[in-house]
Amino acid sequence: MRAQTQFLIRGTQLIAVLTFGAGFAKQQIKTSHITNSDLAVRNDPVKDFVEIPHSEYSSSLTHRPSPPRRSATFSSIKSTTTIRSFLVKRGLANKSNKQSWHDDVSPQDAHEDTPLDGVSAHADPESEGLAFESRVRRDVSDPLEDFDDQVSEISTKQSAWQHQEDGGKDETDNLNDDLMVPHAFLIHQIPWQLHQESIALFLELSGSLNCSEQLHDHEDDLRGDLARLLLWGESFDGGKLDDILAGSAELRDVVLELCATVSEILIEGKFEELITTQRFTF
Amino acid sequence: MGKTNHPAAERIEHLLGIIQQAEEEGKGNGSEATKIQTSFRRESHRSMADAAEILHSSVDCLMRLLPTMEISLAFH
Repeated sequence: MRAQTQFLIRGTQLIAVLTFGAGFAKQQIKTSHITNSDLAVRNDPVKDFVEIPHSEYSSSLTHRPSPPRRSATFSSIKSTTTIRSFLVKRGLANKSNKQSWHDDVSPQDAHEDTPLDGVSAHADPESEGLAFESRVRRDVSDPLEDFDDQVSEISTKQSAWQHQEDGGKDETDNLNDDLMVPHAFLIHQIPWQLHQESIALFLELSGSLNCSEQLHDHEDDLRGDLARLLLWGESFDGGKLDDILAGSAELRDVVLELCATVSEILIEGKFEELITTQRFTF
Repeated sequence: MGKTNHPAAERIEHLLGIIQQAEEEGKGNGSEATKIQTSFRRESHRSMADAAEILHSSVDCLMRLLPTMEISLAFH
């Protein structure tokens, strides 16, 4: 009887020890394999996708494989399309979101995935999608709106400039402006007239370079200058010179001064030549 | 200046008229340097060598203005 009692007591102690040991071992398994990566995965918005296999918990204290990581989980997901379909299945994403992002895209293109889908697949895809939609629409439409604004602004400025050019007068006043055209024409044509008259005088002078001994000494230089002066004038034929000089008063003064200098030099040279040949008296 | 029927003389008179018109306009809105240079030019008696040198320099300056003027023309 005593022996039976001691056997029962030892058996109960053994069972208690085994039970405690098993519980302690299970607790050790649960705590020792929760690493920082596990915590990162569990705090991730897509933690619902990560399912740790139960077989890992059922193993003993032997070496266990590394815990599942996001890369391992997503390695089975081929593309962001799968992520989106997965989210739709879980009810975490709305199908209409994607359609609304591609309202202006053809149906074929709408089924194609963009990297932006994956970005919006994270926390709260619906609100993120709406925000993204407004952002995309703003980015796309802003340049066109800016261009229209710029065009209208330029048109406004041009109209104001034209009005300013007209002196703010109406059409009836413009009839009186026609009387001012000859005077304005003469003033604005001065550099071009100087150039043309200088060229004509230069050509006439070049024909008699051999007649004058003084001019003959500078024949080569004068012919070279005549050629360059002709070349300079060819660039601004047809009123182009007046258009250029109308835009800059300083440039106009410089060109006018240079053309006047050339004209006066040529006149002096012509005087010299005419006095030499005694065909001109003053 | 005496009157003559020579075409060169008429051309010179016409050119002198244009220069006088340019100087009058230059007096209105021209710089002080332009006025001084004009008066200096009136009083000077240049030799042919000096005249050829001034002519050469003036054409040089006009040619150097070409790029600036072509850029200005491109904006018109």
